[in-house]
Amino acid sequence: MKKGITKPVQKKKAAKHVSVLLIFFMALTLFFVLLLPGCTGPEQENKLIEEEKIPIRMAYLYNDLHQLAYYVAQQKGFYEDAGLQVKEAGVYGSGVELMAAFQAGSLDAGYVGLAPATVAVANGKAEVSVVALANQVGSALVVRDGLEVEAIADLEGQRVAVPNLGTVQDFLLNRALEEAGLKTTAVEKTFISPSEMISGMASEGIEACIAWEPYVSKLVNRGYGQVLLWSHEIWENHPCCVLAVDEEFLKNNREAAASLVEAHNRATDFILQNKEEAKEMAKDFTGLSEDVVKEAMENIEFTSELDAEEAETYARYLVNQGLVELEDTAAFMSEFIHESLLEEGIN
Amino acid sequence: MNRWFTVLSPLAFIIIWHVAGTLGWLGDTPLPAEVAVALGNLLRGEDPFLGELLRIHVAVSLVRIMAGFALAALCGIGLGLAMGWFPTVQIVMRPILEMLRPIPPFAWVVLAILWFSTGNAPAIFITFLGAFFPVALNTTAGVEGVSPVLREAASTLGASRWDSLRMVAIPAAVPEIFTGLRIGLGVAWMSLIAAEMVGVGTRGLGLLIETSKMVWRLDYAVAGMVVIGLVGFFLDFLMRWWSGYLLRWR
Repeated sequence: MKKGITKPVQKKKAAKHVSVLLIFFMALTLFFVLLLPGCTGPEQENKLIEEEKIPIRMAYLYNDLHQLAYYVAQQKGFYEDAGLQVKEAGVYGSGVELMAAFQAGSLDAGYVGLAPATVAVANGKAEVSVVALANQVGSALVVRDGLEVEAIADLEGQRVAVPNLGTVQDFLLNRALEEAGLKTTAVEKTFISPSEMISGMASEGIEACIAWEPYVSKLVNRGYGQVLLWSHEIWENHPCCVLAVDEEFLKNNREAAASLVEAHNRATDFILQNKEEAKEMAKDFTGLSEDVVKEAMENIEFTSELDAEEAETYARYLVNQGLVELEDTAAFMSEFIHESLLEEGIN
Repeated sequence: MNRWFTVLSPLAFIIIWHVAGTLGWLGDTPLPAEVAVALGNLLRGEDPFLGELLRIHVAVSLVRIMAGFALAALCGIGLGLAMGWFPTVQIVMRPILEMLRPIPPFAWVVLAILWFSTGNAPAIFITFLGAFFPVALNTTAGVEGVSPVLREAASTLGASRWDSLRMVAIPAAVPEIFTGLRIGLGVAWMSLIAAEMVGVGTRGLGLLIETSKMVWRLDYAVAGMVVIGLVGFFLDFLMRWWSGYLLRWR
């Protein structure tokens, strides 16, 4: 205590300091409350994008190659050619988060896995439509390097990591086990995100994992695992990532949605016809190493044509697992997938 | 009167939640009644996603939390006493602790798997991290706060440095240590979801919440959150009772 200053005086001073602090924080809160709605948020919904020249709000998942068409379309000016402005409205860690952003009205379009999109829409938690496929196949069951596993039956009783319940990879593993004459409980399933499967393999915490590209190539490239089974060997032409659009956006901006699909298709064609350049662009886009990008791109099939029947196979699986309730999966898929949007838009 | 408020305030919270949810202010957040139904289903049988009983989820999460917390209490109190009593230890350790402290539990997931493989060990490590820093820093503050008059009095009476720590500093720091333990236990529960994202198999409350979220069954996700809240509340109650019992001399 300083000499000559009494306790009540100190108390008064302390109270004054606290008051100043409170006023400061109140001002700060007010500032952010007033500022934030102007910066972001779902205010754009329902506006006519064609008429008002408002950019389409696009999102995708980070660390993935599946949305390469988006990057190619941006870099090559395909969106501009189609008369669109497309802005990046979010890069999400998982499909669930991206679907939540759709639900909150923060997005017009997004590249997302068929699995989270189907689950969210079937459970009535988001209103989106799939307008094109982004890619198919490209997942694999990877076994830890050095283990004597030559067939899926050798995995009985082993720890196998899957990204989560109800994912396409979960379905693929179950199907592979059943085809090998095993029960789906024959392996010790554990849930780990693909990025952490690498450390799981490195620390020998799991014997195998099932993931999508580029995680498969990362695992193989780093010498942690070998591919036991490619996903196309389990389920030929299985859909993976899709281009989805918000229902409200589609209703109010059908032409813009058609143009978006047109730009997506053009970008997909570009990837297929200019593989080397596409690999370079993928490297720039993701920051992944050249080797991983090259290997991963060989295993992913970029295509925009979505087979509704294949998508329905997955929906039936979700119903059988009790993860969604659908009376008629075919009817659901015919509403969920807009295969002919491009033609409709042009007409 | 206070007891009535203790009962009425959660009730008021539920009513506000119901009204806000019914008016659509909370988006697609499940209403309290829906959560109650999910909770009832969980109490009656296996959860529909992982196929496990709620009590098993609670038990395995409790084991992970308590193991991490016990380890954090041991290390945190030990380091906190050393930092509070020996200025050199504080000079060396403080910057490291202050740098590590703000790192969120999720950021440790990859390293936890790399260091401890998968299963319970990395999960315990993450809950340990959650609890460790509040315990260590509160213990340090408790020892630092011991009145110099008391220290000098002990010294005058012939107490060695070790005796002063044992008989003066530690008893005087107990209230702060308990505050650290209570905060640490809360943070350990907060880190449960990150802790159960390290390949812990198919059991655990954090995993139940994550899986429910994956399949968009937010009623079950919120039911899992409610269970975490209730168990955490009960443990905090036990901790308060224990500290009250130990500190009844105050």
